[in-house]
Amino acid sequence: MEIADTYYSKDEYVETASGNKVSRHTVLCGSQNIVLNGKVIVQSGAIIRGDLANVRAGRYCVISKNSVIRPPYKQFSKGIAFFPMHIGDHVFIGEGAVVSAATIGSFVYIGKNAIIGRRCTLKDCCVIEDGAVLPPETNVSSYMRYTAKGTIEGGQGNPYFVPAAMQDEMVNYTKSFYEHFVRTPAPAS
Amino acid sequence: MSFMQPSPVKYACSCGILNPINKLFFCRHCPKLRCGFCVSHEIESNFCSNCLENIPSTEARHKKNCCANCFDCPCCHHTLSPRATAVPVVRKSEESKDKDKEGESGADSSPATPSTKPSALPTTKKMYYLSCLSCRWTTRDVGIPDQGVATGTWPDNESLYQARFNTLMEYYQSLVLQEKQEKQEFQRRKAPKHNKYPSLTDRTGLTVSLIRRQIGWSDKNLSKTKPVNITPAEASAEVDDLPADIFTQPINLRSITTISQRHSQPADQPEAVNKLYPQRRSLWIKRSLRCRQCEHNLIKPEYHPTSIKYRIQLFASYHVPEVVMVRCEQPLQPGQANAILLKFTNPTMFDMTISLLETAPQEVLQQACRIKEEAVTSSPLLKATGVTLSRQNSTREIKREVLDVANAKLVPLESPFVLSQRDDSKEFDEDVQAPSEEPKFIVWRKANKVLLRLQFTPDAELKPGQLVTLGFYMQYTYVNTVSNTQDKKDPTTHALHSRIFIESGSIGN
Amino acid sequence: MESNIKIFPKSVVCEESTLRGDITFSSGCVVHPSATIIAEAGPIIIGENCIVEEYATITHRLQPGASWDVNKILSIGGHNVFEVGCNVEASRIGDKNVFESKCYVGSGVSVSSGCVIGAGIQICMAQQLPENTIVYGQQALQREAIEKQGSQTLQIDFLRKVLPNYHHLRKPNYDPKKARSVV
Repeated sequence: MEIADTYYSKDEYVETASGNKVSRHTVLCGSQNIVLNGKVIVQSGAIIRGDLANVRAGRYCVISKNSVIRPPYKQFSKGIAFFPMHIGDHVFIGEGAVVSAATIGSFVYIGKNAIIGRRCTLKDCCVIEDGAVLPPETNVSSYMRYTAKGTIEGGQGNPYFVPAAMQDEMVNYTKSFYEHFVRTPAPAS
Repeated sequence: MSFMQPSPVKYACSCGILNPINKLFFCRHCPKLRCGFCVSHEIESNFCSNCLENIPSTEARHKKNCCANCFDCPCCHHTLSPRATAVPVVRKSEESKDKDKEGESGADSSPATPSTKPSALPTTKKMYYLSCLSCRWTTRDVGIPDQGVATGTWPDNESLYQARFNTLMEYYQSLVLQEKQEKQEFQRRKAPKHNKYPSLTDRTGLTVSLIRRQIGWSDKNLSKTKPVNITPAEASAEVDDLPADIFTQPINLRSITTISQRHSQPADQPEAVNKLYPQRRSLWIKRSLRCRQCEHNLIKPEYHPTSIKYRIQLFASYHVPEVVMVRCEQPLQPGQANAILLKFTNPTMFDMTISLLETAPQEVLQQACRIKEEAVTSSPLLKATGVTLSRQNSTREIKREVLDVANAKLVPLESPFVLSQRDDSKEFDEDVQAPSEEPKFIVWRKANKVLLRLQFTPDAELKPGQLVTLGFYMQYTYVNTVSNTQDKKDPTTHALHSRIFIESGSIGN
Repeated sequence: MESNIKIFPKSVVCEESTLRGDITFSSGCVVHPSATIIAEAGPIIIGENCIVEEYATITHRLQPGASWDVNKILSIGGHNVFEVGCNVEASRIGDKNVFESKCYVGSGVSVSSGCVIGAGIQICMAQQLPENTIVYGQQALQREAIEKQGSQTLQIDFLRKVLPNYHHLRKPNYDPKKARSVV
């Protein structure tokens, strides 16, 4: 099914030169430590904690409403440290997701209200189902699907859990999401 | 709407099962649609999904398909992570210090501070234990001592019956070998000069003896291996009495294991949580898919666990025009004329002519496919006696009827239409569309995409809430760059068709 | 309902948090932006070194028919962690508990000490969680840990250093020593 147009009002979103569309109703802490590589959508209510450590998101990422992007910390004997977080290209983060991963590869789909625990590693082309809970330090490898039940399914070449052409699917999806995320046309007056 | 949701547009696979296009493959040699159900699945490589280590198949079999380094939590089945702690080591004299140092040389990061002065200062040593970050289970819970190295030294949980299992295993392995030898002996007597060429697929190592025999040497291991004797298990009606306190003591559910915890430890199936033991993590596979008719690969992933690329990728979305439902023009009502907007996309590098038909077009290609099939199944290699391929044999295709029915009447399009080839550079071009003569049903056209309007009428007897399904045959021209026969080198053009069903929505109230 | 926020010294409370009612933060607490604490039924007193993360909600909910009662205090012990998006309405909270992301703890639940409520778990039924209880997994199974969870003082030390560089903070406005000297 074709993605329906999502409209936003001109006052609500800021568009940067590189094509990022960032809502004004977000909490971007430490914005000097946040790098959005272009054509990234950050919807209202999202929180990105750049004050704790650097956050870098690739091109064509979608960070949906009320999601929290929070760099992970690790405890050492002498203190704690927050680690920078890297998000690849064409990554979709669903509404209300809490993401505290160490790295997220490219072409990753994170469902609504998913919880990604501290220092998880999500490899390229993996899927996290809606409402799935990943305990800290979980590794999800490519073409795996982490289900809401807490199991890992799939694998490259298994056609039932993650589409074999996941890379193309995510590229198409994030690109058309960006293209269909348009400003409300000015009322004809 | 994301591709994770079920798609309203489904294609009928050649085996008769409906699938969205992203679950379908396209065999270029047949040329037909294939789905996960009608292809053969093969193991491409084994790897651990946690540490991403590639493990060769022989090693994987040897390790019982488990990773050597990663463990699962016996309590909640999540992966365990090693945790380091500093344990004070008090060194009293030179002697014990030297000993300690020797012991530590194996440990990876122990900060052994070499000091010449004899001191009784407590120094710390890094020790590791395994901890689950989901349920907070640790190896300390069950009294497993901390290890000096993070991986590799964790002791295996030897179950009570391990020895018994081993003897049984040995027995059956020798039994298999014996049967195989007898069978071969029998065949050698029966048809001494039949199979000239030893098969390379035989995995039992008997090929060596086959070759030896061919050059006229005698078999080396002619000595009959007699299987070791095993003591048969005996059933007993005597069962220990229940302990007396089971009737008097209140049960503490927290100290009793759950069914899934017991099943994850099948060898001993502990009843108490203090008997739980870290479980080795089972390996994962990458699969390659193979068409069962022509035995060509449809998917072949790259070997490395972290690679997301394919060496062969025949996805249907690369070859078959994609149909995307945009919307219905009006709310659906039984018996009322309506129209649906469909977007067609051409993924190939050649122009396509598409027509939408109500009945199946003539089968032209069947013939070529049949011949190919015949050739494979009757090949002498497969008929080699006593040798079976480990792979599933190719099978003759049995056509399954597509059971799904459409419940709307379509108004056929007046004429076929052309979908231009895919051209990635066009994405960046200015939108200059030469206004050409277009059939009336085409709404717009841009590069390799066409939006068209298809008129239909849902059946009059549909009730509110019922799904309206449109069904049609899409015939399209497909330029095949590979050919089945050797002599033809030019790309051939086929007229292919696939049956498409669209769930356009449910009847309104 | 009038807000009366008391913040002890050495606490870091971001201004972008939502605080309503009579709330007391003991020393060493860290409240991240977008956290919500609502004292509806009575005052909330939060013990030392607690962390309240983004979108976490702590509510002292008014029971139907009841009204504000100064003596009905929700006392939260020390060293608790309320992770991102958790929703806690528990009637009693001891020390050293961890409420993981997006968990829900209903109003009838009494949490003792050293407990961990796993991510995404909902506890609605009135019950008492004994010490060191771990609630985990999809089915919210319970088990007992052998020891209490490690304290978060190192994280608090870090946050106390970093947060003032990036956020506007509510000033500590209550010094127990001074208050005593006045009396």
